Amino acid sequence: MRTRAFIRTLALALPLLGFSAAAFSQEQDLSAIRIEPSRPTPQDPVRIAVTVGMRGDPDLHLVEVRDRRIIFSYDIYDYPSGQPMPPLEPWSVEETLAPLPAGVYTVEVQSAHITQFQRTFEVAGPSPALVLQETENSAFAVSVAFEPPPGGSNPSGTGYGVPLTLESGYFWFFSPRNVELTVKILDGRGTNGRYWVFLASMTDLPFTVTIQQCPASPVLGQPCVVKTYTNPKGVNRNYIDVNAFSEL
Amino acid sequence: MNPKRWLAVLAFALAVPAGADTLQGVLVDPPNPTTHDRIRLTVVGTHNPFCPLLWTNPRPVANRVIELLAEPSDCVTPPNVVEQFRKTFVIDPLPAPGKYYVYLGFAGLPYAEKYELFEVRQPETKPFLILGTGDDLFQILVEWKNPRDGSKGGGFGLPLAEDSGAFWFFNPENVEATIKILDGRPVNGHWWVFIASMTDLEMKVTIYENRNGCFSLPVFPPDCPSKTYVQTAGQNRNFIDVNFSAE
Repeated sequence: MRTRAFIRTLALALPLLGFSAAAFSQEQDLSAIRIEPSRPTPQDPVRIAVTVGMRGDPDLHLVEVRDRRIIFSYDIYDYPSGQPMPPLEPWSVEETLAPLPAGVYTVEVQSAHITQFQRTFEVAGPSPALVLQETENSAFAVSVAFEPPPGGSNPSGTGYGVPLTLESGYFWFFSPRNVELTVKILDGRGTNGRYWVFLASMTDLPFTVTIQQCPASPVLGQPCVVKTYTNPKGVNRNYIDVNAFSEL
Repeated sequence: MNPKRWLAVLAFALAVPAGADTLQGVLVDPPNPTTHDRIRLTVVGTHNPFCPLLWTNPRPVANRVIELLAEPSDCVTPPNVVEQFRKTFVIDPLPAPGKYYVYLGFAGLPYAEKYELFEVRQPETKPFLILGTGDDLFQILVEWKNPRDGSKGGGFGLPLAEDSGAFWFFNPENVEATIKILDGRPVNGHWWVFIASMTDLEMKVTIYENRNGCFSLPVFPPDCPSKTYVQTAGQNRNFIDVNFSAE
């Protein structure tokens, strides 16, 4: 549903807006952006490695970091005509940035000020909850509260979740290196009409796992379904519940 | 064409990308998915919440390109408000490893706003796990057996954190055992081993300790002192050993 006037507007606007005409070229087959750690916190330096494929040195380098954009630039090598083309080679650069404030950042790889490809990542502090098994209808929010030992490094008693896949993750209590509890929520509806909950514990501290199954879009009058699993002090055991939740 | 619609589209076209509607990029979760992982794509940008963007579902448009397009919704002269938005989609696992691009843009415009690059990899299939740092290293092997049908095999190690890891047997998304080894030597002179099992198969966990540089020898399993923990079939039990001593 586009009128002639609309198309004329676009034709005038596009050059001003500077859209790139060619998104893909063979030079991008060797393209790569790697970010370490993959889920940085505001305490982590962030290492970024960028690779482009070119037939000569493209002078790939970091230009600037501004407004949550981390901009790298390279030149398209103008190879002399009439000579055999050398093969594409990967050209890489690596930069380590000081810890970044929480937020969403984009690494942009530009040529002639046009972003050829990019990678977006988020810097976030430890999360007290994991969202698992997200579907069109519902999602599960998992949180853990534990009884901290006296003098421990986390007096809040809040476990912090790290996602592994969309179905599983783990919680740490005292150090990100020290996994205390692994959680997975599997879709068992094809077998018994239920979602299955598995908790594997590597602690004997008292804790309570709370799992809330909520509708994907808030529905008036439809509350979340809540289930808890409580571990007493001095006990180390797992929890396997194949009748945990039905479909909302 | 409905005049109101024409005005809305023209206003949108003149506004993009300097106005309320901007697309920053796509967060890919997990950040480094395997060929077995469902993937969450979260579009991040700004919009006018009184005139939110309408989205098409992600669709493959070419080999390794997934298209995500936005359209303006039908509204005329909304209040001038700009706020950040996130819009999430979940796609099925991408079975072929390698590079993929999310082509993110506004429907009807001939050029894509963004090309978000991510890589899909094969799942970890190392038949062991190494935990620890420096010379304080441990190599863990897991073997399983199913007495119901006689099948048996080895677990595949998946690092979680420096002191912790997991093993899968059949499906990389389905962790069967988790393990951590903590330095308890300041407390009682020993390393502490924690193993959590999420299977009822027969399972044998063997932990080899790097003593006198034995890990540097090209031998598998390593010719090093070790200790074994066995779960019999039909059990589901954890192990907590605060007096770990490999022999």
